[in-house]
Amino acid sequence: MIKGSLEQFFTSVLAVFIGLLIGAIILWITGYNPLTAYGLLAKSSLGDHHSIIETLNAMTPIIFTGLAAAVMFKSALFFIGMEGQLYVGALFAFIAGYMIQLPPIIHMAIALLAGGLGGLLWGLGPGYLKAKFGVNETVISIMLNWVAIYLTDYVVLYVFPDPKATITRTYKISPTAVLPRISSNLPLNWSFILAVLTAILTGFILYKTTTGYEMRVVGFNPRAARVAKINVERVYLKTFLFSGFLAGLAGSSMILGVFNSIPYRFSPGYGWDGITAALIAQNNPYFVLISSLLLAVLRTGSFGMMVGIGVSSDLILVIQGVVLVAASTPGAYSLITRYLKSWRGVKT
Amino acid sequence: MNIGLIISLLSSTLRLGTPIALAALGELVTEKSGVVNIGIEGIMIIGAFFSVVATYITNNPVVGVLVGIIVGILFGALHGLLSVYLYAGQIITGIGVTILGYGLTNVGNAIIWGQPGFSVGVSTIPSIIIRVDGNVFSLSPITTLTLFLAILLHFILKYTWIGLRLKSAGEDPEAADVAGINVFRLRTLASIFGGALAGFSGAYLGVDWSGRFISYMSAGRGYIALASVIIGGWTPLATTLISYVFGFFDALQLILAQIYGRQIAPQMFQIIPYIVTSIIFVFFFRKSKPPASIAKPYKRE
Repeated sequence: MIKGSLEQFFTSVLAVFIGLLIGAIILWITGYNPLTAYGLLAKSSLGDHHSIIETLNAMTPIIFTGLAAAVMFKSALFFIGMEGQLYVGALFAFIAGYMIQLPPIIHMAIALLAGGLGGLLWGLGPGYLKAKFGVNETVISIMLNWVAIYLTDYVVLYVFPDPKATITRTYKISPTAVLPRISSNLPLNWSFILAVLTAILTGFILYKTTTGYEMRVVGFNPRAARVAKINVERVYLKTFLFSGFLAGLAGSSMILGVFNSIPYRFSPGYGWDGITAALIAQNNPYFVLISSLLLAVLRTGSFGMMVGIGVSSDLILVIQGVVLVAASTPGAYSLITRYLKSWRGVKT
Repeated sequence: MNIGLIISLLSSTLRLGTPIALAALGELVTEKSGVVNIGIEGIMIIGAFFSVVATYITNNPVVGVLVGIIVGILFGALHGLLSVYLYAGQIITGIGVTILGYGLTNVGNAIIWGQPGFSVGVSTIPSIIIRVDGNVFSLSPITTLTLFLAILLHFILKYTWIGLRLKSAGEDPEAADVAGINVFRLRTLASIFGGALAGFSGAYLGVDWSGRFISYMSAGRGYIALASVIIGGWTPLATTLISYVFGFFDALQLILAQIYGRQIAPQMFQIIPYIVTSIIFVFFFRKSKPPASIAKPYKRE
């Protein structure tokens, strides 16, 4: 057991290393100094007080989408529509924050939950179809991503556009729905704390409750789960609802905590970051806290890198893609270690 | 409805169905052998990018297409080797290649053309122009090739030993192995073929359909191709037909946006292909049965 998790840990570390290495090679080929680039990346994400706060702000939605993906993958469901759910969550949170009037704390809570509800509803259709008819969830999730993004575009551009704003965005939500900062001189809002607590709670649900146990069994082997009298269909549906709610919270945390409106295409791809975060964390909610910090560093740092030396911030997508490909082949590492061992055996 | 509109809808359907059909036919062969590559979306966008780069350098779109195919072969081989010999989680690899594809092409575009979002225009594969009643009907040679390929694959899969071997590797790899078929090699080759066609499909987008690279220009078409394969029940003719049905709705969307663009927001049209794909997918999903060993790595005991 311990040996297995150690191997998983090394798989993740090695995958991240390979991702960074390939990123460096691409930088080098295209005429940039990888050390300068990565140095700038680290400096602009962790270099000073201000950039650390930026990074933590970016980390919040990634924790939520990371947890959403971890929950999905734990049940061996390959729904990758977190980006779409994030947008729908943002829409719902915005509507609750803009259209209704409530006293401060209640309004905040309602708007936050509304975002979660939006994500949940967006996952309800594919979840039901998967549970009831076995409809492939991956294809549907991509279709829904595009629909969610275009719908949000529509709302931002045509339904609630703020003509006075300097950037393309909606009107601001009511101040009663705005998530307050943790302390007045710290531009970090309470959704960060909420995200961390949610990660711990998700870990608890996955590892300490019957529902979590069933999800893990289903994910490990659905046929065995059926033999053990677990209602696989119901577990699938629960997973979709839970995961959708988490991904929706990513959207509401950004709207209520950071922007207080919906800017046009506000997500730089936090839904995808969450998928990578979950896989690096081997779908363990506690480890998502670490991996999402890594992705937030990449995200925030990539903008510094772009401003500093002009490398497209999408370089981190390359790194992420390579990390995923490398992490998908755990067999490779045991093969390599076995080979190294036999090689050493021959030598001595 | 006037004749001009019908002709432009038909012409547009053939144009927009072709990238889906090409990628779908490749994926069909890959999946028949027992490997699933959901990263064809990523291979498409990479193929599109490099075909435009090659055409930009050589000013010859045919070279562009060849480069697109070669890039597709490389990524198909990567996916195949990882899936077959290292028992990779194929879905994860596929998601990785998709994200990698978006990233790589955006970075490359910014480096080469110094602007985010799109490249400069490059020369394209010349179309076959047919005039009907003064209306222009343009047909890409790649579309013709795609239709020919669909028919060819139909016969190969149905009547030749290649089809039989692919089927046995995808349905029952142990039995195939016992019968002396090299399941590992066959699956790798099938992945390479799938990658090649995904790259070809991307090249079509780059140097035939649009004549430039545009960020995210594959726009989920790789996943629509995956849907086509499933709905088409892993048969080339039905898969091709359904790909063009999706192409039709994409064409319809564009034409509706042209006609009603002043009254209705473009987003309302842009979502049509995705919604239609989802509905058709859900409706026909239950009827199709995948190869029994799909996405399951084969290990010798």
